[in-house]
Amino acid sequence: MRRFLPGLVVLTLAAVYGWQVMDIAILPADAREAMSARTLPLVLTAAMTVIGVLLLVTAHAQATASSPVRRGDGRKAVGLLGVCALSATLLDPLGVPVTTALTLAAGMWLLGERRILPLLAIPAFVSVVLVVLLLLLAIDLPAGSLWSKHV
Amino acid sequence: MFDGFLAGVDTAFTSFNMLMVITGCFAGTFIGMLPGLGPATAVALMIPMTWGLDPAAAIILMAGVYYGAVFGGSTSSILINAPGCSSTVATAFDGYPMAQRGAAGKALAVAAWSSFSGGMFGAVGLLVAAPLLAKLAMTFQSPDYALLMLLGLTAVASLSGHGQVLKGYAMALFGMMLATVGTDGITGLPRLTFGQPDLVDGLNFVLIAMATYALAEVVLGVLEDRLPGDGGATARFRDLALNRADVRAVAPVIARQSLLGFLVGVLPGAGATIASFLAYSTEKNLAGATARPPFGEGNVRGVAAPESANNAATTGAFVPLLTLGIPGSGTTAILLGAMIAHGLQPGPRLYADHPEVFWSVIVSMFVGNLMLLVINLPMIPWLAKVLRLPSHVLMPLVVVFCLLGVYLVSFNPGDVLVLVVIAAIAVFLRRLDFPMAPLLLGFILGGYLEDNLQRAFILYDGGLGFLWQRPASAVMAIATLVCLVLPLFRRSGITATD
Repeated sequence: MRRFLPGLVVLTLAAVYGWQVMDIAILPADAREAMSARTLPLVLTAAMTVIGVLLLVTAHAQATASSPVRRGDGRKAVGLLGVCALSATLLDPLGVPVTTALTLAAGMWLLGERRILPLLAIPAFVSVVLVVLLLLLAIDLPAGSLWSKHV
Repeated sequence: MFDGFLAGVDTAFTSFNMLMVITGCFAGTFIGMLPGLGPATAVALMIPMTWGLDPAAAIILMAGVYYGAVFGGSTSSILINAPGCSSTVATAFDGYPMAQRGAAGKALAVAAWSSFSGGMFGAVGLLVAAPLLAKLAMTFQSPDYALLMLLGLTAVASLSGHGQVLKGYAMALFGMMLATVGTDGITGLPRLTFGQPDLVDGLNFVLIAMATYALAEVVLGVLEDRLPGDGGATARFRDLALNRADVRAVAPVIARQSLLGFLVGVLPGAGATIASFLAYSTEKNLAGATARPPFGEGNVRGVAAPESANNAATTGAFVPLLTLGIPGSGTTAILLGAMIAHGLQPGPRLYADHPEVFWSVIVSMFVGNLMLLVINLPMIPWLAKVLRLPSHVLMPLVVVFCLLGVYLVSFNPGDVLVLVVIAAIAVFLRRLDFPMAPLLLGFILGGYLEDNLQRAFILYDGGLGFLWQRPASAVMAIATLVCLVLPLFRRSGITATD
């Protein structure tokens, strides 16, 4: 099944994109032009579909040429992406300095750090250095709606 | 031309721009040293830091990061057998065995001198070739540009690794699809925005670069359990000296492979990785079975060859970038995006409209390569201590820089969420062996391709005559076709993942 996956992925991308292309608005004046807002997206959809089919047809050769899949820790990887997503939601209420420290601490914990002192000290130090650096670069950091002030 | 060159020298030698060269080389060496974080990641991480700088200083800084990272990548290859980037993989073949038998200092010194010589050779080549090519490109019209962009895209996709050609094309198309998101240049109406106001302005280049390279690299490192380990060989300052026999052994290698590296670097799609492998295999074949010690067991020529070639190629890659606006690799694609973000249009217009930027970047490379040798080489034993930092501290730091890098561009947390989604897609695609450089290239060139195609159709009354009526267009159309079809019949190849 894995050998067909690249082709299926490409065809899925082509289908989703192609579906959206049909919704692109074209002004009546542009409809008669050689190139409208829809032309390039349609060409891209068609080319992507052809490549998807070619990938399926040549799936055996592609699979033998692919590098072997390395197994690692999927849960940690998903957890790391989850931490990133959580950070995005915390940026507005908590602001950059606090979110930076929390993200760093969560990332370190996720990758295996269990000692309390490094988990507290390193994120706090990095956060302070970052704030000072950004202030020196004259970048105004939103402090977060919870604190309702600007750093 | 001479006035422009003098303006470039003036710009490059301001104290602030000198500081940018030093900072760039230092930061690049530091980041490039970290296994898994190559020049592309290093340059991507630096983009948000350059927003407050003038364009010349920003590009000088990022160019310094680029060749600094290639230089730094060799250190981890030699000391811990974990290449910082793909272009220094070949360096580990002989560099690590040298380190294992106690000659880490000599291996680092040979790598540094080879990098310096390759970089200097490349800078001279760039100085000569860039203005000539830029003048030729000044005669280009919209149809030529459209075909040039198609040629750049197909060349990069076609030079993807063995079994990756179709995937390379697919990624170039996917990148172009992402570029079509946002307000349409023809109608001025939102296109493919899924009704999201955040997407009306299109996807942010920094976001795509961070997602596909920096963040995806860390997540892949965790997923595939290949985060940098701790420890490795060490080198002392006094070990960094070379004797006369070493110099005699490596000098001809450096001369040969710098030339080869530069020529490979100029080709769109080839880049430092292919150059380093070609250089290594060429030297190995030249040396034959009589080489002592054999290649792969710590031969000093096996370090000099890839290191001179990859640095010459790194500089050579600036030729198509600065003169044609066509990046030859993932890293130069990121640089191209950064230049556009700073209001510069790479290509012949850069040569004509901003000669001080064009020339100052070239001049700064001479200074940068000298800095790498004079300042960074003696610091290598201390810089290498970073390799002893645990990965569970380093990798979350990179993640934080990615998130902040994207957030500080727009102050929109929604962009950070999009970053996470695209990084997840990039990880999935990379696990299926899809190359990312064509995606980035497609994203950057897609918008320009559409604009130039539209102008070409207007110029030729909606006909396809622009494909063959101008000699330059006809040549590029044929070259594009060759690049498109030929690799499908190729039976072997080298992975270009720079």
